[in-house]
Amino acid sequence: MPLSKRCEEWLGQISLYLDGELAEHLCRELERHLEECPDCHVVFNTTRRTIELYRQYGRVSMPGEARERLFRTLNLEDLLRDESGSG
Amino acid sequence: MPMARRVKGELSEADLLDALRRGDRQAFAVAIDRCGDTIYHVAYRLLGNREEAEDILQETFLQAFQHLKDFRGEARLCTWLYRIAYNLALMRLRRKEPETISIDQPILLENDEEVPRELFDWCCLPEEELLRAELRSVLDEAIRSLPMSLRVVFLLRDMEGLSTEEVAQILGISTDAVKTRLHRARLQLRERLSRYFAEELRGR
Repeated sequence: MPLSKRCEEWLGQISLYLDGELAEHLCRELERHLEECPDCHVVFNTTRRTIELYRQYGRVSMPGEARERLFRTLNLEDLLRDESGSG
Repeated sequence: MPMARRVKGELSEADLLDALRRGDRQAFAVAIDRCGDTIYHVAYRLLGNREEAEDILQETFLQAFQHLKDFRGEARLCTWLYRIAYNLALMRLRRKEPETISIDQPILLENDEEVPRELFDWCCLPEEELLRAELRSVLDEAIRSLPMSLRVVFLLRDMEGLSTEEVAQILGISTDAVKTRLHRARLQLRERLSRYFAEELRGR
């Protein structure tokens, strides 16, 4: 069953809520709605989980070899060993 | 005086800038280690492959270090570098796919995936269960499917943890536009992941 217009309006606020940017009184109202509405509750929780999963597993770092080649390109190869204070 | 030791994160922004302007080689290395991961990540997510991501990484630092005089210190050094990297990646994309790539492309208001449809509740499944479901490739595929204008906001804000203001500076858009795009990106990704998990895990 599709979500009601009212639910869609509330769900339009969940990003602001998650980012701590929703006005205090609206936060309380949204929280009440989430308690009463199982569908919005699911959307809210799975949105939050989506963000967490990307944060945890989605990041890609510069590979060690790419870093090394960059240092060489910039004639900084003598500084390669200094990384993270281990040298 | 050159820096005696180069330890990531130890140097203040102002000291780092001073050292860079003096041409201190250690400072260049610090800048790479401080900002390089995010530059590589942005380039990788925009261009989709490691070779080109590395090209952008190199071009960014070469260009930035040659034009340090142009940096007036209004933003964080990393923010400035991310903006250079983003513009380089964008130029490359436009060369490759001139008619499809635009950060300013109108975003369809009635995007089907921004209205939640899939209400399968996978939020609280144990992590092993999610990981078994080839999570990483699912995450990669979902983010690749986002329009570029949403993808870049999601990756800078949610994955790299930059502030709304910083992302607005990098992309040259308003903070309101950042917030709107972030919300749309989150809902589209949620929908994609939900469909996937519903199919994989429902009825087990």
